[in-house]
Amino acid sequence: MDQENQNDYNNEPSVEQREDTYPDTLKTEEPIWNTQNVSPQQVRPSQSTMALASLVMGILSLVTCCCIYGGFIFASLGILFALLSRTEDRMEGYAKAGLITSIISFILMSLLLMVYLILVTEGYIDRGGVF
Amino acid sequence: MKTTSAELKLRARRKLKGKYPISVGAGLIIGAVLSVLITVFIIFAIIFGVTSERLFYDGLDSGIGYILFQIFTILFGIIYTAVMALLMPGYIKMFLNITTDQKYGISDLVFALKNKPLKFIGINLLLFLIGIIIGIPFMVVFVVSIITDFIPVMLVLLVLMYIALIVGSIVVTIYFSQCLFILIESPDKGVLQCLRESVELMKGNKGRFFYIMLSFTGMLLLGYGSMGIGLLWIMPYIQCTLTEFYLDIKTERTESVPASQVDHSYESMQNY
Repeated sequence: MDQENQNDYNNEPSVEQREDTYPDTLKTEEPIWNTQNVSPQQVRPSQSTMALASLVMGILSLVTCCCIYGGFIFASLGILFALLSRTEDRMEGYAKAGLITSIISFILMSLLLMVYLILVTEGYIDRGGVF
Repeated sequence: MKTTSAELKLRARRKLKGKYPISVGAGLIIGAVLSVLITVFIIFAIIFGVTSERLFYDGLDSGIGYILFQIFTILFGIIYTAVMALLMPGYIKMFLNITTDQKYGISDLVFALKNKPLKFIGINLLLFLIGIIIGIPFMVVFVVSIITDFIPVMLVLLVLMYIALIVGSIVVTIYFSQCLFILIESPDKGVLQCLRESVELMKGNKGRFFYIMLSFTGMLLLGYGSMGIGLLWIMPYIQCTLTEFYLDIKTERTESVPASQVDHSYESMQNY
């Protein structure tokens, strides 16, 4: 009889019967464990160093976008690190932030450059000598 | 189904994850060695110019000093290209190790110095000679235009020859792009054999290779924007992608070999 029970792999009802008894105990246990421990602490997957570097470069580029060369270098490096950190289909959070801050820095620098050019040529327009 | 360049680049990025410090270090070491060479050359040139003024007395381009300086510059050019020819295979070898999951390290940079350095200098010399041969039509047209003082016909020919030169160099680069990889993987092969195998490997893959090279334009623009600092990260990425491309076309070639080994000749059938 013991051998029959032990070799009874094809007879699934014995397994199913065990499953009927388990879910009740599990259902009563899970909600307590869920509300107490899991929801306040959301485990975030660690971001790669390149993504962090991209964020740092993006912030530095925003800070230095007033002096165009400094901002240019940091913004280019920020976009570069964000693109190089993309090892899965989705970009990581830090990399996305670095990319967006670098692009904002580029836009600000080009606006600054345009304002500077307009201010420089503004005095020459009525003279008619330069153009 | 051939792997797309996006897939190759994704593989390269995955392989390089976490390995950037050593790649940047290797790039900095190579840059440092070449910068030291150039600084030595500049110091020699300044000392030569300052201490041997009398050699330059005989007018604009005819003094002995100028001829000596030209010879000195050409010698320096040869030394510089030889050092580059010995360092680049080491750089490529390191990324080959990274891509094929073997042990890698900064000591890979001296790979060419340890395994038959003359072969690596030889392959560089051969590619340089091929470049000169391709440039001969352009040089001929250029010299003739100088003699004829740039008449419009010669100008048109000059522009056409220049375009032909650019196209020719791109085509030759694509054909011989894999020869260094082949020589690094088996340094016992002859230099001409490596070139022949590179042409063989690139059959049917030239368009893909050209597209991959063009697709790095955006990255290179970012490298220029960061005044060259970004190139320290971009060159490992480009090198890894090209290594993945080489491994990909190598597996395509070895997969297609077993079919050709079946002997369909009538004589072999008579044996059964």
